[in-house]
Amino acid sequence: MEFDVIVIGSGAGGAPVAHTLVNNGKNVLLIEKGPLLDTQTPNNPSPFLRDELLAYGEENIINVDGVDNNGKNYFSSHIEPDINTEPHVYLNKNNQDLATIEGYTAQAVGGGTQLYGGVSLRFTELDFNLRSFNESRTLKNDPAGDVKREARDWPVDYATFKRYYNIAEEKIGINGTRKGQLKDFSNQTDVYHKPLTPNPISEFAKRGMQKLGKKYQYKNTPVVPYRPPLAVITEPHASSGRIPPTDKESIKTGYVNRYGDPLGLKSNTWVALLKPIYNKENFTLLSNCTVTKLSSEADKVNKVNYLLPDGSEQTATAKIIVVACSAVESIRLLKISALNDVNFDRRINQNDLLGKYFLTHCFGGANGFTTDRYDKSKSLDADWATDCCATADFIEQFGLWAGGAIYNNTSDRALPISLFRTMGSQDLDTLWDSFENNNTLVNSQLIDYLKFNYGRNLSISFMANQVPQKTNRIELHSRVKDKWGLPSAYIIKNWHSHDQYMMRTLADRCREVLENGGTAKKPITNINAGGVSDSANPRARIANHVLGGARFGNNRIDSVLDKNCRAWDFDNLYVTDGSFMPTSGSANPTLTIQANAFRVADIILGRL
Amino acid sequence: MNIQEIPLDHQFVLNQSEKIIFKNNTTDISAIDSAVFPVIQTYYPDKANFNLVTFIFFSQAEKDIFLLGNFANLYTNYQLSRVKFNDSNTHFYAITLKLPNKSLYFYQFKIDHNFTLDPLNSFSKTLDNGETWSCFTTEGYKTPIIFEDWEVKILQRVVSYILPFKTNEFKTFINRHSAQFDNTTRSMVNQLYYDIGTVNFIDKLLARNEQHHVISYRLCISEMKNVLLRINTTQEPEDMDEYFYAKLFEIMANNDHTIWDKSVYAEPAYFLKVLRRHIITAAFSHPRHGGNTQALGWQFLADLLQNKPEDNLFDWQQALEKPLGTNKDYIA
Repeated sequence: MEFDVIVIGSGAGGAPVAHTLVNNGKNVLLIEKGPLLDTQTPNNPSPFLRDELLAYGEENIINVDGVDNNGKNYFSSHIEPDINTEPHVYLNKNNQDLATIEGYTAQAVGGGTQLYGGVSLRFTELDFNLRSFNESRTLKNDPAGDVKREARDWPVDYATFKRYYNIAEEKIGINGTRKGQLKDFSNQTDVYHKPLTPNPISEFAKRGMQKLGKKYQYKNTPVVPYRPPLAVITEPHASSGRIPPTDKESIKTGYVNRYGDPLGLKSNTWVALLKPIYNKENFTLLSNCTVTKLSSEADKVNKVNYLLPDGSEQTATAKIIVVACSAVESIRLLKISALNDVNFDRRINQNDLLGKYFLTHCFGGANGFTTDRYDKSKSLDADWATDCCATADFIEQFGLWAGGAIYNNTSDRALPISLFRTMGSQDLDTLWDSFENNNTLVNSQLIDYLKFNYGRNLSISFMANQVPQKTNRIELHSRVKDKWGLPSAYIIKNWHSHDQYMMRTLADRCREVLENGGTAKKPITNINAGGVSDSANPRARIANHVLGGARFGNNRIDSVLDKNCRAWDFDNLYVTDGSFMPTSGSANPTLTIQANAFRVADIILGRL
Repeated sequence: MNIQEIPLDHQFVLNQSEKIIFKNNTTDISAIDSAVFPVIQTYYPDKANFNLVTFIFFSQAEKDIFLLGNFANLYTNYQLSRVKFNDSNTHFYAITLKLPNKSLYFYQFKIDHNFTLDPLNSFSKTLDNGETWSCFTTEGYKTPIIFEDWEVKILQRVVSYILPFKTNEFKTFINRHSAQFDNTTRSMVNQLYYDIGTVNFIDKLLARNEQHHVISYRLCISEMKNVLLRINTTQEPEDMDEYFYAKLFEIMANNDHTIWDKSVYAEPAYFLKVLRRHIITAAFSHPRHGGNTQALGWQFLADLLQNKPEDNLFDWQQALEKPLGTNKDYIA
């Protein structure tokens, strides 16, 4: 049977496409590598549990031939791919190939949205035009003029995205406020659910952001903080039929970021988009199935090979193929497909850009300690945000090429074991290391540690554009293979000097939030600030925001995908995960990936 | 005993497939290191007494696959069903049984009159009659299956030294709350019992998820005993004062090879890291894992971490399932 569309991957990039097309009567096959884990029913608990051992529980030992950290331990969540079966390898500054747990999105129906914190910001209008914006500007820490050479305007502007942002916000189910957000919401119904009461510790963040917004004004007007849009429903959600509990305050738990939600209140793409269409006759969802290659004939992808849960091989065909399995894995799939198919190779590699301009975010922030203690285990991922560092005025003032969002993290280090395992850790590869290396932490010293740290840690984060560099790229590793014998993804990336400047600049603003957020009686103390490029292992840091590598554009020489996210030399191959982005935006990327996927779904619908 | 077979949830079985590695062109399978087979779930209607246990077998050739084990008479064979995917047969066979929790079980598969261990479960035990059986425990099984009695005793004392349950803060907590404790909890707050919970957690972790540390534990506990006997020649380890355990800790933390025999285990400081991580994880993880007995670790933290006496700044109960927690919506 030939489907209208095969979608590969069920996360932020795949689910909106499947949802739209199925609801319009098209016959869709969705193939997802991970398991289908549902929410609880009255007599059946969900496989997602409020249990700290499900997020980085037991220790595993890296056992991957050909990597330099073979034998080191790692900790992953219960729905992340196992490093040993699907290694991701990156090149570190000492030219070592290291397997890493960074940069995975969750492997389950719903993809990374199962585990994400849910921050669902729109990108700013400027984020879409960074080449034009920087054309006649002089930037700090960019001696070779790389930004001017490498920045690209998106081929589709904010005005076009705006409609799809609104669709995504409504279809996903998001709480937050508009006021204070410096994005154009004009003539759009406010679909945000009402935010919950902020955690009391966030009052300091709010105060600090208010002062920051007065200092860094936009068009001579103070920028006020807002409740960040979070993909958690707080009101009945019509399009998915989800209903919040009577006691809305009970939605706030410490089991948010890195935890699947057993109640389905977090708006992952399974509960928001796929479950509502699951029983439709024109929808087939194959979970636990791994796509191994695409084959082609002329300008058509004419076959998708995939493995069933028991390892048997199958094929499927469709009029249109949509690849959306995260920027790292999609690039890997396209490159593997090119290895065995000359025609596919020639068409997908019509220029040398596939895998190039891999992006994540400049990110980091500041953290400090409040005088009193608060119960952070009653929280969502973030309570307050400000756009004052994303404005043209701010960017001009600091000689930056782009801006960033700032928000406070509320749910971090809210639970007891997380206080120990994230102690001093710089990334997901170094969980537990500092605790293990501190042998004095026993007995009464444990009490002192808990008393100092529990409920007092307030962190402010920034998320900002990373300078695109062609040398930052995804390749196939020459030696390391996954459990199926297919080449693993090889992540080669570094930070630009302007990225480092961006991170220092925004980390200092986060520091200001904390310095100004305290009061004379209750100051914030022990403040530390920095960006991930300062960390011991900066090249590993990916923030699980995997973007770029198949950027879209108006010029076939300069992009992998056209403005509709179709591969230039294929008639029927689309890529809709974060890999389409030419620049990484000044905020967490999920909502933009979802909005773009809704946009592409409309384009595909117009063809069928 | 009448063991109940539960209708198979095919999607649930297939969801386990990502934890399975197919080798030799899928003629042979094994489980990834961190996976635990058979798969044990809460039996929600009666979670105090039962678990659901799902056994999975893989065969490319169509076979009749039977399970037998000490959960029933050994002549009772349970036939595994073919697992379906998208209405088609797969190479997986599976069965789900409702089994009493707090128990240790032995089992084998029978195919064509031949018996075989579970290739997905690397934990097995050789019985007194010389036969080796695949082995697992259901939730709440408290008897050690990795550690010997003497190992448990030494570990308990080390746990007792590392955890903050001999501090004045803990004593204050107990004094403040003992009137509210029910009888079970009161018996649990006995220091010794708490340490047993932690050691039991580690014992099961080594049997299930972190088997790679079993050898380190074996070697190091033995050498810990030797070190204790070297620094105190007049007492048995279990009778020694905590001073000697503090000394032992220091010797290990410093890799002091003048006292620790490095030919037995070169880096006791490394082992100590693992042990400390295990102990902390046990003491403050969900009570279902066996270490945080009656959630006393959490209750203690809630009591410790206050600005003023009436505060509850670690309100762990609000997020968690009843009867442990108070959440009206979440079940587990």
